Amino acid sequence: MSTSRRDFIKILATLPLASSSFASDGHSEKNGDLASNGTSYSVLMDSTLCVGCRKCEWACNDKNHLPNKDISTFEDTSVFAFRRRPEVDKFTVVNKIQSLKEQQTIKIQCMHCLHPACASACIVGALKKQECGAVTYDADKCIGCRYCMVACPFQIPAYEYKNVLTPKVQKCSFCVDKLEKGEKPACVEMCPNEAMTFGTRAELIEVANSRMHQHPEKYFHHIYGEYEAGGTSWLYLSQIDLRGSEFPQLSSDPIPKLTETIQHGIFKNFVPPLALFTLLGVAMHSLKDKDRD
Amino acid sequence: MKKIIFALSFISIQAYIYAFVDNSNPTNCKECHTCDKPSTQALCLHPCPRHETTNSNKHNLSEGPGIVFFKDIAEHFTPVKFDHRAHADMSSLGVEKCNFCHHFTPPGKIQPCRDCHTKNSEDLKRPGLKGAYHRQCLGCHREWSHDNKCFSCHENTDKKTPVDPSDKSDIIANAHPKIQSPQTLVYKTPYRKAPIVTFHHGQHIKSFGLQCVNCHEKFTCGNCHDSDPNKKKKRTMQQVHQSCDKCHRADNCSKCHSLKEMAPFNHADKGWKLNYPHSKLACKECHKTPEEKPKKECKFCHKTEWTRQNFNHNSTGLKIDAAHSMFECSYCHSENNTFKVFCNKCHFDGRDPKKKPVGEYLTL
Repeated sequence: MSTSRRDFIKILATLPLASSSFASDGHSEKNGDLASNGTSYSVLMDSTLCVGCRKCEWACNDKNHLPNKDISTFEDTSVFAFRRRPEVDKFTVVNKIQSLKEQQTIKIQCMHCLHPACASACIVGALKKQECGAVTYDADKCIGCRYCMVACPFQIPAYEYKNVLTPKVQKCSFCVDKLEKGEKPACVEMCPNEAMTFGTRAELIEVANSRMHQHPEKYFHHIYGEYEAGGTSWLYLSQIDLRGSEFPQLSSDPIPKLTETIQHGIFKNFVPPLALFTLLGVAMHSLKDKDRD
Repeated sequence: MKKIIFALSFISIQAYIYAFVDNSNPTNCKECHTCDKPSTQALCLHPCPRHETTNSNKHNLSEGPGIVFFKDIAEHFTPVKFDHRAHADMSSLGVEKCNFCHHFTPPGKIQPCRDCHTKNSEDLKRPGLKGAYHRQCLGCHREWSHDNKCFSCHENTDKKTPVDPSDKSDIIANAHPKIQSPQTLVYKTPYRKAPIVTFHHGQHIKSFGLQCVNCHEKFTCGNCHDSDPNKKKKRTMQQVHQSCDKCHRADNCSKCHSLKEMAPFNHADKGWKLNYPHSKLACKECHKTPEEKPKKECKFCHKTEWTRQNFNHNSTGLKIDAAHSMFECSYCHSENNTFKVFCNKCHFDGRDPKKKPVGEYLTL
C-alpha cells in the first residue's frame, strides 16, 4: 500500500478538526457550546411576576457602588411614566410595559448575548463573553472608541461622558464576581417575588416552556432571548409579544455573524491574501519584463 | 498490522460520533403520563401532587393560629406579622377556603410553606420561600391597594432596632366581619332607551338558593375592598352581561332594562300566591323551562297518589280537627283544582272555609 502508516495517522488526526469546522462556523464554535454545555448561566425574567417594586435597582446600585438612595424611595412609581434606559449610574431599570393598560412592569439590563455584538465590535478586546455567561468589560483595555455602543442591538452600554479624564463604558456585569463565588446576581437575590430565576440556560428554557404549557392563558407563547440575536443569557417571559414592543425584533442570526464571516473569510487559511499577493507579484513581474523589453 | 490500525481507527471514529449524540438522561414518559402514547388532546397526566387538597377543608378555622410571624428570611426588612385569623376568615368566604393559600395539604397536619418552599431552593420550577410568601400575599394585596409598598406588611423600622415578635399590641387577630348582603341594587347603565337596571340581589339568593360563590366566582378581596375604585379594573360590556346571561336569555333588553326602578317579582301577580311549602322552592323546581306553566293541581308535580292516610295535612300549615280528618280529600277539595276548597258537600249554610277553618293554622 502506498500510504504509509504515518500518513494514515495524520489523516485520522485531522478528521475531527475538519468535521468540527464543518459543523459550526467560526465564531459560534466558541460561544454556541457555552449555551448548551450547562456551565453558562442565565436568568429567566418572568414579567408576569414582576410587581414593579424596583428593589432590583436598589440591589444593583448597592452591589456596584453606584449612587444610591434609601430603599423606601424606590417605591415611587412615577418613574413609570417614561420608558427609561440603563445609564452610567443605573445598570438596570424597571419599566412599565407601555402597550398594557394595567401596571405591568419589566426589568431591562444587558442581555449578555451568546454572541455579543459589542465584544465583536470591540477592537481591543475589552468586552468579552465569559464562560459563566457574563459579557464583561475591562476598563484597562478600553480605548473609548464606543463602537460597542453602536453595535449593541439593545442599546445597553453607556459612556461616562462626564468623566473627562478616565471615562469608562458602563453596563451590567451579570455580577460576574458573585457568579464566580457560586452566588446569584444581586438583583436576582433581591427580587421579593422571585420574578427572576437563576440557573443554566438549558434548565431555564425548560422551566419557561413548562410555565407556558401550564398557564397558556397567562403567557404569550414565546421566550424572548431563546433565539433572538443568536440567543441571549437573559431570557424573558411575558403576557405580550416583546418583539417589537419592549425589545427589538431581531433575527435568530447572531449580530456579528455577517461581519465576522466576511472578515474571517477574507483571511481564512491565509489563502485570499496569498492569492492577491501572488496576483500582484505576477502582474509586477510581467510589467517588469515589458519595461526591460 | 494494517488490520489493527483499521480496527483502531474504526473504533476512534465511532467514539467520536458517539460523543456528539446526547444520550444522557433518557426521559421516562411513565413518570408523568399514565398512557403509552400521550397526545396534545389527551395528555393523560398523573395528578399533580401540588393539587392534593383533600385535607385542608377538614380542619376548623379555629384550629389555625391567630398570628403568624414570618421571620425566616428577614434580611433587608423586618419580619412580617401576619394576621392568620383574619385571612383565614376571609378565605372561608370563597370556594377554595383554606386551599386558597394552602394549595398542598396531604392528610395530616396542615403543612407550613417552608416544608416545600425552601430558603435556597434547588428546584427551579418551585419558587423559594421568599417567592412563595410574596406571591401569596401580593396577588391579592396588589389587586386592591394598587401599589407595591413593602411597608404595608413589613414594619418601617431601622434594621438596627429589631421588632420584638412577641409584641402583639399593634395587631389583633380579628375575624372578618359578617358580610351584609344587599337586598336590591339599582344600576344606571349607559343604555339610553332604558337606563335603569334593578337587580333584586336578595331575591336571587332566596328564590334560587344561591351561595355567594355561585355568582361571585372569583371571590377575591378586591371584589369588595379597593383603596382607589377609579383604578379598579373596569368590566367589559360582555363581562357585565355574562353574569346575567348564564341564566337569563339575552334576547330581550326590557327584561332587565327599564326607565324606572322595578318592583321585585311577586308570584301572586301571576295569579298564585305561594304559601308554605311552595314559597320555599326554587323557581326551576316547578318551572323546568322558563315557559313551563304548571297546572294548579297537586298531581301535576307530585306523582304520589295522595289519600287521607298518606298525606300529612299539617305540612300545608293547617292542622285539621278530629272531626274533619276522617274525610277523604275529595270531600273538601275539587278534583281539578286542589287549591279550591268548599264546604257545601255537608254544610248547606254557604259557609266560607277561609272565614271558618276546619282546624288550627300552624306557624311554619
